[in-house]
Amino acid sequence: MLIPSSFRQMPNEQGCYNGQIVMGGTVGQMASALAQLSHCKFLGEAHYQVSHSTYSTLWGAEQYGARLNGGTRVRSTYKTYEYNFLYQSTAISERLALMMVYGADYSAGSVSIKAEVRATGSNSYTGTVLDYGIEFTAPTYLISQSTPLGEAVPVDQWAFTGCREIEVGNPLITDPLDPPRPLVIPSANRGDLLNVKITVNSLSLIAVHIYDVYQLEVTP
Amino acid sequence: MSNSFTSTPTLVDPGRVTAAQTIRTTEVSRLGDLQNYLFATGGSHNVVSQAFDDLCFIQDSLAFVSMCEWKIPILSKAHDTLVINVSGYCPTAANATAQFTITMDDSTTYTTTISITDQSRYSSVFNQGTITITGNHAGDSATLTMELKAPSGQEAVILSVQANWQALTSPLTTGELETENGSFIPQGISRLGADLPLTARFGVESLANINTLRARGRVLFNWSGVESASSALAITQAGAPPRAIGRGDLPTFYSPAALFGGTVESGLTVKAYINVLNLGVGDSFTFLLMGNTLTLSANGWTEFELDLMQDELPISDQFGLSMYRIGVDERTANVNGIASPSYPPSSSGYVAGLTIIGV
Repeated sequence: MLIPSSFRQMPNEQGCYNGQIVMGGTVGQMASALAQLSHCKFLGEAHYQVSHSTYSTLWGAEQYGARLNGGTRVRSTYKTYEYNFLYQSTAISERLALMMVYGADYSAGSVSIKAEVRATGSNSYTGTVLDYGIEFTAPTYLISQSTPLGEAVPVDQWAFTGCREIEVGNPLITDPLDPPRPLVIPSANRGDLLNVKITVNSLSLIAVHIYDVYQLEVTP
Repeated sequence: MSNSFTSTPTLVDPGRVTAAQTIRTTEVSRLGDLQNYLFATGGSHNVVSQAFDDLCFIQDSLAFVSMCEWKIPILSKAHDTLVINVSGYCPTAANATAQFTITMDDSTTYTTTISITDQSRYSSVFNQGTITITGNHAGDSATLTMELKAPSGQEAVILSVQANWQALTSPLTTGELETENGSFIPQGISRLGADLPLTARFGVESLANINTLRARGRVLFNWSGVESASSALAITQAGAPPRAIGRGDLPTFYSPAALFGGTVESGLTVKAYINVLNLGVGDSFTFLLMGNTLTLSANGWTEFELDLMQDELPISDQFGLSMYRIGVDERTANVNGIASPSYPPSSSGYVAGLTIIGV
């Protein structure tokens, strides 16, 4: 069935009163409204902003307080640098799209973002791998700059897995990782707390947005 | 008469409820099942999601220091357990401790403490705590405050904070369930089976339930500055987190998120909650958010209902949904409401927290 993406007008309540013939249209509108809620409005999403040091001599004696530049320093420590983003999935979290904000400096080394999904049994960061995931590389999928001033401050860019329902060869194969695609959640883990593990190289991560992918059509 | 539901949810085949078709009990039963599922689980994904680079969110105080504050939506009065997960570390066997407090609209508070057990960045586990709401409180949002303390001679570092309301389990309790935006009548599934009359009440209640669920909030953006960070390390190395939204944030400080057609026509609203600090008596400033010009004239949290007047983002085509820029506007007119060396947090009012809750 088609999943509506808007709040459509509901039928008149009086159409449900005693003595009224139950019209198919009335029941159909209820079914459609509930499908919109379950498979559109209440899809899971998480929006992580990643705060970085705001130290700057521009602040004077105050020394810090807020981000002053539309870019973030790519520190020399950002090599195979790991983040773990916890995501409370829903029962219909089949695929997760990722949208990330980053700044990348290719003079610091090869630039990449790897993303995988893990279970969170025993609250561990090293839980069972559900999808070994994907890799964004420059220049195909990432925009990187050369700012040869030591620890660079490249401007923010966006990276996105897309939402396409593409065939996944085997989400448990580690080498090579797939190019960007939505991450796949096995049915047994839908509704669990998941760990979206992201590893960056020569790149500063500014924000990570995680989405359940909306499907236009679902089989009842 | 069990108010049960199935998960994964079952949808109603629209082809079975068109004119000239007999309405089977399967369809009616699924309508009731789906309502129960939605009340139990809708909106139980992340309500707080924020991450911090290493040595940024850091504390060396032996006593609790209040450092972050977020607004979170209240799903219903039956959703009484907030699950909080903290990633952090303290380089000693003695654990650092985070304390979370929910403050309801009537000022009632509920607290939990979480020991942070890792001793280096992402070395082993994140730590979890829960807050249980026991009273009956009005309001469709609450304030979540985070405090942090370290053991003697050590420093506690926070890497991320995640929270979500725990979904209810099947079956729902009997009787009317309250939300701030209306009541929800759970549907007795056995009453919707074969050989039982389909009451007028089922239709009326279903419509009311759908309207109640449509008004339930979902978090589209939630950010808190970090106050009172403290470290023995030099400020060049540690302890310089953002306290305020700054001019460098403007280009990308938003969530691309879906808003749904019919929101305004259904009488639903998108709300922004803004936490202002350090505003002098009689002072005010304007803040531009999603095309709205908001005047902030008091310290603490202020709530606004936003007019929806933005254009869709081009990324809508990818998502198949109408996606919008949910966050701060990148406009030069925003300069007075945004921290910069000309408006430093030490001497100007500043935005220390921003939460946007849509429907």
